[in-house]
Amino acid sequence: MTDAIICALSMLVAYMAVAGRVGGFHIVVLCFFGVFFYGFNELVIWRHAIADNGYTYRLFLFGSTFGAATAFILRFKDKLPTTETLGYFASRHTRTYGLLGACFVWLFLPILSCVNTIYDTAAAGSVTTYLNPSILNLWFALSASCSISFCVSILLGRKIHPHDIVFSSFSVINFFYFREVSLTQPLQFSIQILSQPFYAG
Amino acid sequence: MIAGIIVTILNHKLKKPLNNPDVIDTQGTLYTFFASALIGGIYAAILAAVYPYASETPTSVNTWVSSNANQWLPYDRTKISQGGLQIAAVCWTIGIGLLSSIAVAFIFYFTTELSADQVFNDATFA
Repeated sequence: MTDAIICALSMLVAYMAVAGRVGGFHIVVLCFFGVFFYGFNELVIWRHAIADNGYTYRLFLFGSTFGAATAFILRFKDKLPTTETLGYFASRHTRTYGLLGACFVWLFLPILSCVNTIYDTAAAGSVTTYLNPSILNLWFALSASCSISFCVSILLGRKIHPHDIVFSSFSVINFFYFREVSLTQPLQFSIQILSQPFYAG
Repeated sequence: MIAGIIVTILNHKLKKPLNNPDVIDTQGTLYTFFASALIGGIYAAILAAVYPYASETPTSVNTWVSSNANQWLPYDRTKISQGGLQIAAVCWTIGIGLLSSIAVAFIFYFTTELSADQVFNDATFA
């Protein structure tokens, strides 16, 4: 079930590259072939015991490559939304959802991704041996990413662009998720490398 | 911090050149997901190659019990080979993503040609 959810999320990432530019039929085709190739990619990664406990390869890398390359190949010449088309309003809505998603990332995702990793009970005798600082690490990373985004956004654009903060919030999850989950959930996917406690922020 | 710098710079520098001709990366997929996932994959490969495993750290800071030296590496690999395979997996994943996108784009290219109004109109697909 978890892999099915991740597969669906991968298709969502791929869809985000072409959102508002393709129709319902295209989405069906996109997901149909996307799921097939996702399964193929997952099979190869599992067979070669690649450490991908945080789904960086299968979810984010595959989904983004799939969607972005599709957008590059199609090159939507006449799909530019204006105020006269419905697509204009759809693009406004997705940005609103992006901001809401960033709030979700800040508030809940660190807790959800680390809630079962605070205590280590995998040691001998199921004795709690250490307090894992996963939540603090993730919040530190989010704070650093968003703070530097403020600075770089002002330096480059002379004003703060909300999209920079949104994108940086999501990107730090992609960047950090691999390391955090793989270091703190050693037995989740039976690939036991990179699995010891890591205390550096 | 590195991810924030890279994503913000790409958002400023890459977005307009990318979108102006005719490619629309609607939700910033390329620099939000791809760039950070690529960096994360490479970083994970470096960690796999150089980071000490449980059997190599002093017991004073390591409470994990390791039965043998290769407990954390599959198929009796060395750390360098595991790191190399991580890099190979990054390249493979990008390749399979490109291959699948070509297959899908061919189908799109030869099936329908929708205008900006049609793609958002449910009646088009009724």
